[in-house]
Amino acid sequence: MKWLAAIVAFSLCTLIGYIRSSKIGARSEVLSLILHDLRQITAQLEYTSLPIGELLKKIDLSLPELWEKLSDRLSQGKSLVEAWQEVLEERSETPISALENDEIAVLNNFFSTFGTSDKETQKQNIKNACKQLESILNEVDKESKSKQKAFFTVGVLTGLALAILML
Amino acid sequence: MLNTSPLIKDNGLAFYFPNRLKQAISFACSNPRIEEIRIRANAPIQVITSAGEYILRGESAMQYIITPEDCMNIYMALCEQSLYACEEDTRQGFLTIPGGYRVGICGKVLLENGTIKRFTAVNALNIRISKQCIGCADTVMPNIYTQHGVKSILIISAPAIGKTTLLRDIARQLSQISQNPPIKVCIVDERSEIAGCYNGIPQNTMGMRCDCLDNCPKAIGITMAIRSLSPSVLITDEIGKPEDAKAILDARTCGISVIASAHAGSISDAVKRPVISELIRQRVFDGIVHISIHKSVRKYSYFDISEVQL
Repeated sequence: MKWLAAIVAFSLCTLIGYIRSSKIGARSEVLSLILHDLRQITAQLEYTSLPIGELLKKIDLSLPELWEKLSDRLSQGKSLVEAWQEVLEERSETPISALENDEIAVLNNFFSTFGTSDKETQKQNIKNACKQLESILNEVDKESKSKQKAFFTVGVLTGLALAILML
Repeated sequence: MLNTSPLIKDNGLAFYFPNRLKQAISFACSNPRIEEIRIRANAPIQVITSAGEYILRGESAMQYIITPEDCMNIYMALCEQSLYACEEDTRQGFLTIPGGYRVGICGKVLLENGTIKRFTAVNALNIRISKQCIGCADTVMPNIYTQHGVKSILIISAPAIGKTTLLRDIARQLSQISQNPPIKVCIVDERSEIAGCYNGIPQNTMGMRCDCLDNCPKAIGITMAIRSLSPSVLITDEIGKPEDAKAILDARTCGISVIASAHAGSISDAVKRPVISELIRQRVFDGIVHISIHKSVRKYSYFDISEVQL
């Protein structure tokens, strides 16, 4: 029985450590994908003048679940701010659940002005949002390199310590 | 036969309006005689039909008063939340939405180097309901398409009498004529009104031998069409600038028939306009069709160019 409890405690702690470390990895991955998609949108804006809803449907983006949801809300006649807020509220169903307050604030700010100006200002706005997201990504990357390993190790070690105490 | 676009049948115009107005707009659009919906900030919604105007009212005859925010929200919805996508159109003061409806914009204009950059605040919108009147050109077609080919015609009338509707049906009927060599119709549609293109696709039935240069300035479009589309008939609307006249003259000397429209209350008014007068003097057109309206009934009168006195 003791052995079983020790194995369960060890596995649980390791799993928590693993989940925590992979969450840091997911945040950085999703941020990179969003940056990639925003750059794709800028590139498309250079050549087409499609409205945002159609643009998101026509280009091949890295986070289709997120952009399809946004595009669907827009096709229901919602404003971009309303559509984005609804997508955020349901973010547990999309990859952006890995994002944290800093990057969500940047995206909120970006979507509150998107579509309200001419093409040049629009491209400038995307560039600014990309810059801010890049700096967050750099910090997250630095952090994740050290923290990812640390969380996993702490998880394993805590599990091991608990298992020893139990035995 | 009056063909209202599928968008109106589905009450689709209501899509662009705030929730509290959707039902009333759908109801207004169900009127087959509707011509315009006029939205003004701090004013009720005015609906113009061929029988006159009325103010849109809700329950207990209450008027719907449009707020400045409503105006801006409707404008943003018409631009599909993307003003950058409508930059070119809005610079000219209008938008074209699915169904080929033209929306006139009024508000505060932002200028850059003396040209309109965009509207910073929109306080009024005029939604012109596009209708395709299949067969409205039947009475004038014998004057346009004869055994000698397609004649060059100038269509004149006062604004909002039906020049574009007539041009549209002439284009449709000519492009459906099966003969050898075929009649290749090219529409140079500067304001997306004739074919009612949305994203370059005509929203009106234009026939199988019809090409449409959408949103293209007339003079440039006519030259492009001559070079690359080998049209036998060129159709364009609201001519009036010297460069339009030059391009039309070029097309005529290339052996292309031109059917165009111009604002003028009568032939005597038309000849007072220098550009039109010059085109008539040079016998660019073979005839003139004048549209008049009396008690909601349109009358199409054809005049041979030899009858026109300068």
